[in-house]
Amino acid sequence: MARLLIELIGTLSAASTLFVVATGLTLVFGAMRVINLSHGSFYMYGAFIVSTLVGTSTGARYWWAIAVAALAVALLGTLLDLTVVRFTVNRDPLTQLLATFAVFLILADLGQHIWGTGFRAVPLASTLSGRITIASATFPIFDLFVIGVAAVVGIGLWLLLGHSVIGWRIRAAVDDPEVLQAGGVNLRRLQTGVFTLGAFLAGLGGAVIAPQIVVAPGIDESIIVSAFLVAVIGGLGSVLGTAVGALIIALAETVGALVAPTWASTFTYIAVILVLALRPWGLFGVAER
Amino acid sequence: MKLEIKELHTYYGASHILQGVSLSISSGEVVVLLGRNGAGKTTLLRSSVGLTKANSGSVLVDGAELRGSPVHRAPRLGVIFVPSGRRTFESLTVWENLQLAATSCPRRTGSWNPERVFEVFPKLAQLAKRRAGVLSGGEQQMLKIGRALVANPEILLLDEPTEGLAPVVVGELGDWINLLRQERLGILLAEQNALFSLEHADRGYILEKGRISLQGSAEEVWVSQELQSALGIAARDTNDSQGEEK
Repeated sequence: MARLLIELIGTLSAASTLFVVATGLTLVFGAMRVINLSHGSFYMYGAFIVSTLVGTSTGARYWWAIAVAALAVALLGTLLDLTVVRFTVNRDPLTQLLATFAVFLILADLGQHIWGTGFRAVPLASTLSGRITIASATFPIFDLFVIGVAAVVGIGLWLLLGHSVIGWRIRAAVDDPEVLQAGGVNLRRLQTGVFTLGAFLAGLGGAVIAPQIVVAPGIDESIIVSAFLVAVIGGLGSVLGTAVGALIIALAETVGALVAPTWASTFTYIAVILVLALRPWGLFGVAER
Repeated sequence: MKLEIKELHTYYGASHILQGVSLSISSGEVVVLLGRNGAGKTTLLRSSVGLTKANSGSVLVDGAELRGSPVHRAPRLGVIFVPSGRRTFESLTVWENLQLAATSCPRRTGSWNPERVFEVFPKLAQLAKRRAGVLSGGEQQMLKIGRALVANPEILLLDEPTEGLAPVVVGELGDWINLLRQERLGILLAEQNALFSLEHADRGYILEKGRISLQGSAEEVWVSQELQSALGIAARDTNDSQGEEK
C-alpha cells in the first residue's frame, strides 16, 4: 500500500512537469495555430538559467532563481514572437515547422556557447531536500513541491481562461480569430501575449525541475517529444486535456518502469497509439473545420 | 459618419472578384447590396474592414483611409462587420460573448451594453449562461448583432442576415433593423433576399460579377430590369455555389 502511494506521488510529480511544459505548447497552438518546435528550448533555458543563478551554493537562491529564469525565458519568447513567429502565423504547417525548428537549432547552439556541453547538477534548497512520511509512506518533499507548482499553474490558467476577459479573448481566438479582430481586438498583440505565456510556462517547468534532472544540452529535445505526446493525446488546444494527457504519459512510464524496465518507453507509445486510435483528435480535442 | 468605398479592386489569386466597386453609406440609413452567390458581396464587406486585402481603391471612414489598416481599426472607428453563418465564439457563454465584445473597443461610448442587449433581446437573457455553440440559428443571429451593438458602432455591415432563418425570425430581424435605424445607425445589408431587404432599405445597389450594375432608391431597384437579371434567376438557381463567398 505504501509502495503504491509512493509510486503514485512519483507519477504525479512527473506528470506535473509535463503538464506545465505541454500546456504552454497547447495554448500557443490553440490561439495561434502555430506548432512550436522550439518550445523545448524554453524549458532547457529555464533549467540552465537556474543552474547559473544557483551555482554551487546551498540552493538557497533557488527560490528567486525560478522567478528570474521563468521571466527571462518569457522575455525570450516575446522576442522570438516579434522576430520570427509572427511571420509563420497563418502560414502552412511546413513553414511553421521549418521556422521553429531553425529557432530550436539556433537556441541549442547558443545554449552550448553560453553554458558549454557538459552537464550540471543544481543543489536543492534545504527546505525542499528532506523527506516526509504520510501514512507510513515516505516521499521526497520536492515531489510534493513540483505537484504544488503544477496545481498553482492549473488553477491560475483555469481562472485566466474561464474568468477573465483576457482569457475569453484567448478562447475566442481559438474559436474564431477573424470575428475577434472584426470586433476590435488586436489579435497580433494577443498572440504575442499568448506566445510569451507559453514560453513562461516552459521556462517555469525547466526552472522548477532543474534540481531533479541532469541539466545538459539535449534536454530540449527530450522534453519536446514528451510534451508533444501529452498535448496530442490530450487534444491540442485543450488545457484540461493536457492535464489528463500528462497523467496518462507519466502513468505509462511508471507502469513500464515497474513491469519491463528495458521496454519502458514502449508503454508510453502504446498508450499514445491506444488513445489516438480511439480519439484521433485527442481526448479533449475538436476536429479541425 | 460616412463610409465611402471608392474603386475597390480585390483579387483571389488570379480571379478578379471586385472590379472597381464604389459605394457609400451614412449613419441613419439602411442600404442594401443585392447580388447572387459569387457576385462578390461577401468579398466587398470583408475588403471594407480588411479581412480580405483589397489590391487597390479606397475605404474611407469620414475621410480617413482604412485600406491597409489592421482589421481591428475598423470597429474602433465605428464600422463593424457581422459575418454570415454560425460565427459566435462557441466555447464561450452568451454573456461572455457580449462582455468580451463590450470590452474590445474600450474608447467607444454609447448607450449599448450587455444589459441593454438583454432588454432588446429577452431571449438572449434567458440563454445568458449557455454556450453560444448550442444556440439555434436565430439565437445566434441575435447574439451576433448584440455582440456588434455593445461596441457602439455607427455603421453595421451585415452579411446575409436572413440566411437560414425561419420566416418568423426574418420578420423580427426587420423590427431590429427599424429600431437600429431610429438610433441613427447605418446598416449595409448584403442580401439575396430582395423582398425582405428592399422593404427595409432606403437605397440599394446591385452587384453583378464584381461590378455595381445599378444603384438607386429602394423603389428604383425594386422595379429595375437589373434586379430581374441579377436575382430573378438566382433565387431559383441552386447550382451556382462556386464557394467563392467563404
